[in-house]
Amino acid sequence: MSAQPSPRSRPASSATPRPEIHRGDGARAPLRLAPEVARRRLRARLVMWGAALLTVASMFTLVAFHVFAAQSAFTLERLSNERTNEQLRYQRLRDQVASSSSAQVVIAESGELGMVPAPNVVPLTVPPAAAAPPPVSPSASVAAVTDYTRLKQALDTTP
Amino acid sequence: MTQRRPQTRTRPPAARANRTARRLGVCSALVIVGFGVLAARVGQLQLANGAKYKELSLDLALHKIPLAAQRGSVFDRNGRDLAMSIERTTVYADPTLVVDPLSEAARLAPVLHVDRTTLLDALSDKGTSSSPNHFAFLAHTVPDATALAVQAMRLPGIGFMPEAARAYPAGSVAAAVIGRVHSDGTGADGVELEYNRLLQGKAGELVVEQDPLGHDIPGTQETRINAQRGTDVVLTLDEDLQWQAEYSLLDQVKATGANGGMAVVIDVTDGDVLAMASVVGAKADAPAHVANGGEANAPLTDLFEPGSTNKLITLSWALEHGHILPTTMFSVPYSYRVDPDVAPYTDAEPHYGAPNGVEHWTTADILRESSNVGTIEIANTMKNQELADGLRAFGLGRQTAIDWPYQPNGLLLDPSQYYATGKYSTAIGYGVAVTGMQMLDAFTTIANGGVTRPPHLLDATIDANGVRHPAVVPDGTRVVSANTAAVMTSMLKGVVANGTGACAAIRGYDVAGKTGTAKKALPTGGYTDAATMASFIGYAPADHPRFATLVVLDENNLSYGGEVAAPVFSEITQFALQQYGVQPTDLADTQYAAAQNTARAAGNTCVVPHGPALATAEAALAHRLAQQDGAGAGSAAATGSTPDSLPPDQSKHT
Repeated sequence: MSAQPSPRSRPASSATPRPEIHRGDGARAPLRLAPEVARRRLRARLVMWGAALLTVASMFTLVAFHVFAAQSAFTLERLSNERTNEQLRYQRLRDQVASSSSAQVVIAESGELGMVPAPNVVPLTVPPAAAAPPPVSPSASVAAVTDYTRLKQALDTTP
Repeated sequence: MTQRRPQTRTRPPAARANRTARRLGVCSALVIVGFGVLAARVGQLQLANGAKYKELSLDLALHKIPLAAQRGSVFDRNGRDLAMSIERTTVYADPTLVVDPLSEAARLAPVLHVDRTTLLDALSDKGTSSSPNHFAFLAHTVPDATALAVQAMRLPGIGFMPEAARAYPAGSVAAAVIGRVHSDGTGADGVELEYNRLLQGKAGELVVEQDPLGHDIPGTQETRINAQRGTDVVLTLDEDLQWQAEYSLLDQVKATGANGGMAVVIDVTDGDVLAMASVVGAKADAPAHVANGGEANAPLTDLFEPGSTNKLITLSWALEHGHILPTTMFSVPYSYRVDPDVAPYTDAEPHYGAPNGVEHWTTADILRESSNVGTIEIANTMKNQELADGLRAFGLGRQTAIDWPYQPNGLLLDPSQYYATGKYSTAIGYGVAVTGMQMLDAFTTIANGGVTRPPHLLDATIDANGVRHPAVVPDGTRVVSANTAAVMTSMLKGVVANGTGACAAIRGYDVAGKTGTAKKALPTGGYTDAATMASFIGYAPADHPRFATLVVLDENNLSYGGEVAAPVFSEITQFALQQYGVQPTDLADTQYAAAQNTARAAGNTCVVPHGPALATAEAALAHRLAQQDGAGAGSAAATGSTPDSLPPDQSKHT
C-alpha cells in the first residue's frame, strides 16, 4: 500500500526538483499526513449546503421583506385615500356649515319662520341707582328673612 | 479468416495536449475579442454618448405629474368663509363607448342643466378611426347631488373625475369684492385677482418612472415635490354688516328705480373697510341685484362727480387757512353769475323769505343749507391753486390705500386748465371725478381729527403653516388741524339736525354728514336734468366717531341725496353701531328729534322700504313712470354749454 500523494504536491515534471534541505544532523524534514478525502468531501458538501441554505434563507427574507413592503404600500395607499376622503369630507362639511350660517341663509330662513326686522330700535337707559342701605352680614340677612315681604324688600335693596 | 480490428491511430499524448491547448487558445481569443468588442461598445455608449442616452432614457421612462396646489380661502374679519376651494365632480364622456348619443343627451340635459344640443355634439364626436376621440367634457364641477344622479343612470361611456372648484358659502354677499377665478384656478377679478399671488400657492410635481403603458415601474425612485397650499386671506369685511349694507341698498335701488348704487362702511378707529356693497339696477333682461362676481365693485372703480359732498373739502380748507370762521357772515343771493356766457350758479330753492332774495348766512348755515352760491363765495376767498391743493391733500386725484386691481386715480384738473368757472364748479363738486372710496376717505379724515386714516381691505394673511401675519397698515398724515376737524364736525351735525341730511339721523346717536346731489354729465357736454348721483356721506357717533359710511345712488330721475341716500345711511350705520355695541351718545334724542321735525317739514318719510312696503313703493314707481311716459319723456332733454358749466337749474344740486 502506497501513500497518496498530497494534493498540494506539485507535479514532478513541471519543475526542477528542489534541492533537498539537509539539516545539520543529516535527517530529512518530517512528512505530514494528508487529510482524508472523505473528510474533505464532507466539508465541501457542508459548505455547499450551508451556502445553499444561506441563499434560500436570503431569498426568503428578501421575498418576505418585499411582501411586507408591498403590504405596507397598500396600507399606506389606503390610509392616504382615507386622508384624502376625510379632507374632502371636512371641506364639504365646512362649506355646508358656512353656507348654512351665512347671513343670507339665516335671514331667508328666519323670514320663512315669519320673523321680521325690528322697525325701530330704541336704546334703553338705566336710571341712576338709588342709595343702597349699609350692607348686612349674610348670616344676619338669612336669619332676618323669614317671610316673603321681608325677602322681597331685601332683594330690592341688594339685587 | 480472421477480421482485424481497425487499428486506431493514436497520437502521442504530447501532440494531443498541444492541440487542446491550441483550441483553448483560439476559443479564449474569440471570447476575449468578443468581450473586448462588447466592452468597447459599452465604453462608447457609457463614456462617449452616455449623457445623451441617459437623457433619452429618462425622457421615455420618467413622467412628471403636476400636483395642483389648493387655493387659499378668503375669510371675513370674524373668520367666516367667503370663498374656499373644494373638490367637486366633473362629468365627462368617452364618445367611442357611447351607444346612443341622442338618448343619453336627452337624459343628461335636465340633470346637468346643459343644453341638449351641446351634449349631443359632445357625445357624438367619436373622432376618426386613426385618432378616435376618447374624451369630452360634459359638465364641470357639478354639485354632489347632480353627480350622484348621473351615476345612478349608469350610462355607457360616461365618466367622472374630481376637479377643484371655488365655493362661495356666503352666496352673493360681497361677491363683487371677492371676484371670481378662471377655470384654470387663477384669479379673474376682485380680491381673487388682487391677491392671486398669495392665494394660488405653489404647484408641486411627482416624477415617476413608467412603462410604455403608463404603469408605474415598481422599485424605481420617485421624486415628489409637494404642492404648497395657497395662503389664506382675511378681509376686514364683516359678513353681517356687508349683508345689511347690500340689503338696504338693494331695496332702495328697487324702490327708486335707480340704475345702481354703492355703499361703504369704514371703521374710523383703524381704517378697516367693514362693508363695501354694489348694486346693479333693473335692466330689461334682469331685475335689480347685488353685484355678482365679475361685475364692478363700484366704490373703487366707478367715477362720478361728487356734487355737494365736496363742499366738505372746500370749507375745511378755507377754515384751515384762516380765510373764514364758522361764524363768518356772507350775503348769499339766490344766483351768482361768474361768466356772462355761462348760466349762473343758483341755490336749491329761491330765497323767498329773505329781503331782496339775499340771505345772510354764516359758514355753518351755508353748509347746513348746502348753498352753492355761499360755497362759491367761500371758494372766492382762495386762489385756484389753493383749492386744488386742498383737493389733493384730501386724497382726490390719486388711488386710495386699498389694494385693488385697476383702481382709477380720478380726474382732477390742474388749476392752469380751469375755465373761468373752474374754481367755482370744483368748489361745489363739479369738474372733478372721484370714486366713492376717495370721498369717504375725505370724510374719514375729518372724523379722525384731521389725520387721514388710510382704508384697507386686507386684515391679515394665514400661511400654509397656519401662522397669521397681520397686514401692514400705512400711517395717516395730518391734512387739517384737530380744531378745523372739530369745527367741521360741529357744522356737519347741523346738516343732519336741521339741514338737508335730516333723514340720516339715528336714534340715540349724534350723526355728522353731508348730502350730495350731482346731475350727471352728458357725453355731448353739459348736464342732464333727468338723472342724478344722489349721495350721503357721514359718520357716527359724531364726536367720537366709530363708523364712516358712504351711500351713493345712481338715479335715473331727479332724486336728492337727502331723500334717497340718507335713509340708507341711517339704516346701515344704525346696524353697525348696534352690532359693535357702540354706546349711545344722544340718549335724549336731541338731534334725532330735531331731524325728525326737519324731515317732516320737508315732506320726507326717511324710510327705506322693505317687504310689503317695498312692493308698494315699486308699484307706485311703476305707476309714476307710466304716467311720465304718457306725458312724453321729451322734457328730460339735456342742456348745457361749455364742459364745466352748469345748467341754469343746477340749483337742485345740493
